[in-house]
Amino acid sequence: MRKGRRYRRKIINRTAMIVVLICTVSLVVVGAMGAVHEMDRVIAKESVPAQSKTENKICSSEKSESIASSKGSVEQKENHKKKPPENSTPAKNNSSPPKTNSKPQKVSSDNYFDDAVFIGDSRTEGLRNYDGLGNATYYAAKGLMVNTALTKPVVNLNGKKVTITDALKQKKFNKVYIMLGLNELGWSSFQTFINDYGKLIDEVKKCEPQSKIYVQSILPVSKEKSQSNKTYTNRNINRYNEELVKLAQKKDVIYLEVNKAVSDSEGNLPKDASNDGIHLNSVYCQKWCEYLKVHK
Amino acid sequence: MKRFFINILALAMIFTVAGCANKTVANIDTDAVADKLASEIKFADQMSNIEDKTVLKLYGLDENSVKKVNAYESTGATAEEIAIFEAKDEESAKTVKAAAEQRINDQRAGFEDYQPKEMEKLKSPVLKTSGKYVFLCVSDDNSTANKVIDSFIK
Repeated sequence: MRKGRRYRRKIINRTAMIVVLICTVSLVVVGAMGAVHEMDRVIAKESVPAQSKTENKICSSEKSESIASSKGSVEQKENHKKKPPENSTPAKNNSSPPKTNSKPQKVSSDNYFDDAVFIGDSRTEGLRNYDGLGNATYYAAKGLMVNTALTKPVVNLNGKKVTITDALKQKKFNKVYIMLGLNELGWSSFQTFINDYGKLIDEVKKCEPQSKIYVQSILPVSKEKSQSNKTYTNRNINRYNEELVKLAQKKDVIYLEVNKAVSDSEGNLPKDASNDGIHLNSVYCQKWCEYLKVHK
Repeated sequence: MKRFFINILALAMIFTVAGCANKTVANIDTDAVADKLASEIKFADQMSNIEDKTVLKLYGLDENSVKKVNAYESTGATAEEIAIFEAKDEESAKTVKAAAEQRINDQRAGFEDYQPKEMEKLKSPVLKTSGKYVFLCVSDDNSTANKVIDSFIK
């Protein structure tokens, strides 16, 4: 009897030890897997090299698009033009040269553009992204034109979208830079463009009577872009710019030849300046900035 | 013998607890994520790194919500974009995510008439959060974007 009990006890003890052993091994394996997984994650993170924030990633692709093929731009062009024929009002004939920038002198203060606002289209949006213009303000939107600059709510102010003129009424600036005209190259009425631009300048003056207003020339497009279509050509751009010079003179504002900052010797946007021949990359936006810093 | 096995069991339990204890989101290198996305995805446009303060302005955020950010923008010809945020905390990450959603909506409004072909990229861009991190990538290669981001999250 005693031997039977001892034997049973022995069996129970052995069984218990085997169960404990299995549990122990399982726990060890689970713990090891968790630790290995953690180590893998740490190793994976450390193996990705950090790269400089200033590195410029340039990716070429067969998928690049141009705004000349954009349905949107074409629709805007067509929607706008039911206007009467060009007015015959002659441009003001003034023998004195147009008011351009005075003696170039690089701005010495980093804060020079803190009280400046830049009004424009997608190119000005690009300038905003790559600017070296301190705390400048940007009232820019894709596809913006001289007429929609007065009517389209594109500025986000206090959580609400307002028009540029409404925004100007709420915040004061001492310098107003305008660049528009690229999206209007296809307008059937060139004079309408000039008239609307003039209206925009008048509205800006009303909102910001003490500010200096700068009309920036329209930047060129690439040679390839210029040769690939009849609308977005450098010939058209130059024609528009010639009239902008006269307009600036008439309105007594400053004309800035920013196109010279980014043009090649033939007056085209260089090939390496843009992916689509229109929108400037960071390097050329910086050239644009440098021009603005020098010409004030 | 019994005491030996009890000791082994105790050690095993300690080991298990240590191995499984760390379930919190580990620190993620926002620069590494952004750079890897920029290098692994074939963007149609030229992408450039932009200054932190410019990103914050673009998204309507400030340093109260964002500890760190790394972003790449296109030239404006496309809607392509990368923005990787480290928010102050998980609560701030919700603010950052909302700002990213607003950014996407603004881009949709901008490109709808301007470049309708870009709407495809803006239809369902990659927008994820993990703890205090928010990841945004607008491209036409969501699959690669997801893989890259997931490799940092897991």
